[in-house]
Amino acid sequence: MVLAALTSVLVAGLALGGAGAPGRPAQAAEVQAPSEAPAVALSSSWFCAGATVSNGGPAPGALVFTNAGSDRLTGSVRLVSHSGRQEDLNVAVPAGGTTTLQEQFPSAHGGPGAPWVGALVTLYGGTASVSQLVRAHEGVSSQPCASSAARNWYFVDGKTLRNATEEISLINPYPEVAIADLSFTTEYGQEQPVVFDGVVVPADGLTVLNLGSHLRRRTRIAVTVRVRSGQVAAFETELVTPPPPGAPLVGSNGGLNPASPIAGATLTLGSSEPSTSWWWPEGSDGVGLTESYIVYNPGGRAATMSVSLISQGAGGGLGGATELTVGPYATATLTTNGQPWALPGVAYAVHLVSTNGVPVVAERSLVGSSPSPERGLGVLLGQDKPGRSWLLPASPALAIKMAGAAAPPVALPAQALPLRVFGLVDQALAGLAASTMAAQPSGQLWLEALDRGPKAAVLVVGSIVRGRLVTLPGTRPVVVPAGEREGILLPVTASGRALVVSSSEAVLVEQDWYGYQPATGMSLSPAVLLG
Amino acid sequence: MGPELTAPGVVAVVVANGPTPWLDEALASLAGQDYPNLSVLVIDVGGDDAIADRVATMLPGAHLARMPAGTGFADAANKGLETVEQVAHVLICHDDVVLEPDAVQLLLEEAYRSNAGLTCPKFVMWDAPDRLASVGMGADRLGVVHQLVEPGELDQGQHDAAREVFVAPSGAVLVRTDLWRALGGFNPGAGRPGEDLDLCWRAQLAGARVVVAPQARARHLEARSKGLRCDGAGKALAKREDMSTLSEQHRLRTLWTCYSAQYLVLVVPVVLAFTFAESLWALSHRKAARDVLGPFAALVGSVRAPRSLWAARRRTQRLRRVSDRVMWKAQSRGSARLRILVRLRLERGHELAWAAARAAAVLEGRSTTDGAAGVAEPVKAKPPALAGAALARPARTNWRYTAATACAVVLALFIGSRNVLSQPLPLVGQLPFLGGGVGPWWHEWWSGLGPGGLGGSSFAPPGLLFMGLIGAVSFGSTNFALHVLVLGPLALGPLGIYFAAGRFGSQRGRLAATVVYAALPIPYNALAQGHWAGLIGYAASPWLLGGLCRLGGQAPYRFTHWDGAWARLISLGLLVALAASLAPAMLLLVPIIGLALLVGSLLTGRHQGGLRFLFASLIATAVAFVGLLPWSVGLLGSSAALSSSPSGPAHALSVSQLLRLQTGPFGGGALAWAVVAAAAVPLFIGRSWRMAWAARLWVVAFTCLSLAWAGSRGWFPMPQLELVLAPAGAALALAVAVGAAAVEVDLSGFRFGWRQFAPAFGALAVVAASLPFLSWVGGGQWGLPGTGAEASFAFPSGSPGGDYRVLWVGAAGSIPLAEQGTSGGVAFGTSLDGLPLASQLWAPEDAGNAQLVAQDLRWAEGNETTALGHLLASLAVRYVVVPVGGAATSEADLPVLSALARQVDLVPVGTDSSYRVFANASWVPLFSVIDGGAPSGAVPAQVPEPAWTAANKLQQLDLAAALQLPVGGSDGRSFSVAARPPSLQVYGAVPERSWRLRANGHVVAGTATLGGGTSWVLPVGTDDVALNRAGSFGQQVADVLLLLGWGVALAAAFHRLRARWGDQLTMASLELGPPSADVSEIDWSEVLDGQSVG
Repeated sequence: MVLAALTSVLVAGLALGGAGAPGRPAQAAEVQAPSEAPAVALSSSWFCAGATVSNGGPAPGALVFTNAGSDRLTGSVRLVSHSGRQEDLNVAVPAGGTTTLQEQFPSAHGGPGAPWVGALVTLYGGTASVSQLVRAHEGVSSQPCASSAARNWYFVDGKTLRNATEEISLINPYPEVAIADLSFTTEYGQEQPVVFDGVVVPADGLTVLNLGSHLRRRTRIAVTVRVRSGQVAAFETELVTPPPPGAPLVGSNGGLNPASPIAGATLTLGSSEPSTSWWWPEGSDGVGLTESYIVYNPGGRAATMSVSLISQGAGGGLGGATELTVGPYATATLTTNGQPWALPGVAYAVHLVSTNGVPVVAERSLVGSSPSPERGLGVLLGQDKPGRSWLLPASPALAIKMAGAAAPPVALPAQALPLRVFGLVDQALAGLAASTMAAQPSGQLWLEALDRGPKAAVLVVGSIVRGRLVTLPGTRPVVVPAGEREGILLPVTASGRALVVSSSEAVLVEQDWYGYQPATGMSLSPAVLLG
Repeated sequence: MGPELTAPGVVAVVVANGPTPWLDEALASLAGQDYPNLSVLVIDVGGDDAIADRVATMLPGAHLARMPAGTGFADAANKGLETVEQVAHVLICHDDVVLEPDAVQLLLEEAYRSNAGLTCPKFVMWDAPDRLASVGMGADRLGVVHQLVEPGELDQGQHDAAREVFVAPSGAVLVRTDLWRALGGFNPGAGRPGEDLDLCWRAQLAGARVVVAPQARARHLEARSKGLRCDGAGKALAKREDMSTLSEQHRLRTLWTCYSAQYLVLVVPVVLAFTFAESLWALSHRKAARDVLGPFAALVGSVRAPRSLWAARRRTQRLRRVSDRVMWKAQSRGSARLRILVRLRLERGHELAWAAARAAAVLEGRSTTDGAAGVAEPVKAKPPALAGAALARPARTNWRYTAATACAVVLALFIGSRNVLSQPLPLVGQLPFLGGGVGPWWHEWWSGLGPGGLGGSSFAPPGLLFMGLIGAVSFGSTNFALHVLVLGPLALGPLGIYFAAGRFGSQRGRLAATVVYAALPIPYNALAQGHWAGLIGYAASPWLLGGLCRLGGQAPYRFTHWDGAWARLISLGLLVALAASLAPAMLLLVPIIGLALLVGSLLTGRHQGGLRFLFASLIATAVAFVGLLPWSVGLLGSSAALSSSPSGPAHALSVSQLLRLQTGPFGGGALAWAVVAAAAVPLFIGRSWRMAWAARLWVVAFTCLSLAWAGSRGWFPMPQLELVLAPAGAALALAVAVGAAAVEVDLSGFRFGWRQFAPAFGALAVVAASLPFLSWVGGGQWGLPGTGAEASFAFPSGSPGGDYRVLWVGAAGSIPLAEQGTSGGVAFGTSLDGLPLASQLWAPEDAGNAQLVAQDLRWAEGNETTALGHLLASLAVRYVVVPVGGAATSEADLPVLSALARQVDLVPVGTDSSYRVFANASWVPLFSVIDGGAPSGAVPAQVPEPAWTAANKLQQLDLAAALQLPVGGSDGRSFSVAARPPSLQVYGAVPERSWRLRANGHVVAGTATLGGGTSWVLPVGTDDVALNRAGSFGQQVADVLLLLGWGVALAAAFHRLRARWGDQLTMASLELGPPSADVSEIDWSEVLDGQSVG
């Protein structure tokens, strides 16, 4: 009896032990987005860089504080320049509103030369974000600031041409010096100039590196930033000035001194971690638009990628797929123009997945030139973390307003509206958007959403009024079918409010700005996930 | 005509040896028989006239016959029965046998039903009627008699079927009168002992059946075998050696008488061979000359009277109706002598000792509290030299094997610890630390805990006193003391198992258990992870388990009454107290072990004795609780204080890992199953008490394993896994010892089959269990890292800039001090000015400010703050240290690490890859003077606010910038206030009322502020300030009381033990001295041989 009892207990225990996992189940490490706002918080910190002071330099910047909460928010800002100057400021953001702060030192110029500037922001509360606007002569760009520092940063694509400069800004929010090493992959292979080894980023300071100083005339540069001591946030600023009219683009010296044909300005927050899966809620093809997906493999194993297009209105069906192989420490580019599966005028979402499990970093690059009404450069890193609540970053229209560059109404190109609104289920909304554009004809502000899940998502774009989420005037709930994408044209007049996208299902959201003449430029930026 | 007139007449013949103390009860039982036609004839051979009155009183209708004093039992029975006529059956009885009221009736019924010539009842023990003494006996082909049951075996009706046996004990046997006459009664030459073998053999030769009727019960004192029977001069009858020689002589005469000539040709050479073998065995074991020559003497003695022998043989052979071939089939196969030899070595001092102890308890006038049903009045005469005579005798051991095993284990431990021994112990996990020396141990115990922790305890842990004593014995060498405290358990554990397994009788088992316990991975996993409580548990478990087993009083342990066991209880209680002072969870574990032993007893039907285990464990725990007062009171309401350094879900293990006791880097692999395999052996082959103990020990093991399994998954607060698993390991090791005893005793009782492989299997399992241990030895430091937290960072001295706290955050069990709180999946605790002090090995009973830190960490992990340093600044936290990798959890398992890395006011410092250290850029000292002229926001609010609001404000407070005039050390010193602005306040990162401030000699009331701090507003004009810790006087009173209590308890226990040693010395001298009327040595072998002496 004893033996039977003990044996049965033993067998039961073993069976239970075999079935039961020992302790905590293994969980895949969740990659935190570089820019993610806490929904409820005592405080949140934001690190911004990549702009020059607003009263000087090639990329004048402004900070936009967005408070989606129901209480007034206070915060502190420490402006730091690459020359070591610091200035502490206080800021207050009204409930449901935004506050804009020009990045300039109140007392004097930021320093000699190009006065690159960064900001260390602490907001004493949650449901808020900080964005940075850059309004260069070449175009505008909006980008959320980083909400966390990291030890690794990756940038996929840049160039240092005759008319193109690329700067990497490293901002160190910690009270201790950080030391970073930068390595590059260019068309010449892997490069690691000594000058980019052991780059010192001062405590609470900013270091800006002009890649063109040692990587001259590179048409394609992928950057890896590894911080050997401390942590930083890294931004990439790319400025392409218009080439002189009639000048040869391939250079005057046998093609050794090329220039970029399209002017533009982009500000990009790097990716802090490679991933095996990247999504873009919006992709498009059209006359004058060149869209490409660039994949950077920062690891030592070759990555095999599959790129799939998810067409709109096809029940989530794939519009097409292709394979791509990216060698170790190499980049690869897939241009959608001319691809048989990329139908002109049909919007789609893009999914890029590593089929052999090698993580990569990927970005979408959009170049607009004549005859497209959208001109300039746009860059957007892929997204991978869906959510139900998003905070939209500052609208570039704000920057234009700030600069007093609000242009008089102009007639829209005939093809502009159908290109963006194609497939929109609610034609009334399309009409509303058209009327809105008539009021603010300098550009279009689009919200792009992708529902990866099995259930349709209902999206509401609104702002916080007296503690409640109120639908944004001129918009109404939009249904995003399961596995599909949807684009929503937003009224540009809403740029002074904190816009919150609330969804019934987890979706991916991005905000795109397309400016028209004379305010050219485009800005693709991810929305800020309210975690 | 009534039924009584139809019942056949039966005459009970009682051979009495004078008016012995037990005679009255025997006669009373005959008087109480419900058989209607029973006559009693008492034959007195004692020569004492007083017997007539006794018989007349107890049994007025009985007949009394007197015979010359010294007449033997057989002769007396023969003579007496000559006078009996006209009855079909006679019942021959000893005078120390008490029959149940229906015994005669049942015997007669069975005799008729089975057509038996001789019918005997079931004999149970005199004082323990639930224990069997005999249910008939068997004999091998050489006439060696053996019991068919184990002496002391629990009577559960398992032998209650009537059946034929070879020998009916002569204590009480019903004989058909015609058969008796045909046989001529007892053989006059057979004598005693051995007369029952001779009678039964001859009866069966004559074609009669010998049957046992177990429904008929009789209690048998076996007075002669216990040395209780004296001759007329008061001398003890038949010394042991004489009895043995006589017994052999009578056995051989029976052989010569009963075997036919053909079979004698076969038997004689075997008898001669055995005679030589026994003599050689005695010679090789350096026995006395009479033991060497005894077999030959018996052989010669058996043929000393050839004429009478020949006559007896002729008479017997004339009766023959059955061939010797048939007789052989009725006899046992093999050699009962060999089995007895083995059993003698094992049983001496065990089961019989247990029975004897109970008998002694009864005879000494004590009442048996368990199993007392049916116990008669105790015999008044005290049997000299009975109590404890055999119990004091340990199992026979060969000291060479013991010494060799001890040397091997110690050598292996020494080699395995060589690197640890040659250098200071690293600060890993909760190992005590070298810093500060022995002095602070005493100081903290005497004056109470310092302000390093977040919470507080009313009284300092008594474990500090023990550590201080070890330090004092080490002449102040902290390094040596720490090595003793940490490495000592590695040797103490196996030593405890060696002693605990001693009672199981098998030296091989004892040594195997010692080796197996030394080879368990428990202590080495505990050491590798710095789980000191696990080491304490490993050292204490065998002693505690052994103590409980001893107090349980179940065979083979000696039965002791509660009133005689208080010294043991106090000793066990003090042992529990000692272990619990270092690992408080022992206070819970001991009752659980007691409960498990009870459950194990219930499983095997020993429910009455099983309760003793539970009671003993509860009493010992109560004693320990009292011994640790008043500190132990604080444990009642604090599971954290009880578990100290719990194992959290991160340490949850699978069942297979738990069964292999693999809680750390050691114990993996297939060989680790060998321990379980070796411990399972007694479950398959054990019988009697071996099976019972195997069940008890396995239930203990299963209980502890189950607790560890469930607790480690966070189902309830759990101390370190090794602490809980240590009793399981001890139980398994003891089961190995029980298995060895079962192999030596029980295996021969099974027919050839798979069980016969048990010895080889068990031996292989023990060897396999030891092999991994040998591989661990090679590392030289049991997986302990070369450096620990002491190398994580060069913490600055606190005093110049003011004292500060270090916040240690990590997986449960990985931080180098007892956890003071938890946040999510991590535990944390704080130390003062760098590394933890010894007192912080114990968790505080009061969580204090731990909840603030837990909340802050939750906010950080939830990405709700990036200014954790500001929040922790109010608690004077200057550094945050997170152990990672190695024995701790990897970085991926610690979300708090990335949360800390996100904080903008925490700076990563330090270079040790095993520890992530963050410096708080916003820290303020433990005590600081805040300038009242500082910005208004810098002065802490004194009005209690919700946690969120307070924290939100705290984040915006720049205390570091606002503070001035750091106070310096926190050891109660005074300081001067240099600047005297109109308003100054002293901020202390300590709970309100835990410190007292005097300004210019006047006490200033403090106010709680910033959630967990205290603020004192200094009066204008203050220039001298003194800070002192509150409440140290009560601590010192408690210390004195504790010392007094322990002193009294130890003195009492020592006094009792000293008295016991005195008793044992007296007993020894009695045994060694010349035999007297009051002293006779017990001959256990007679009982084991199955001879019904008495």
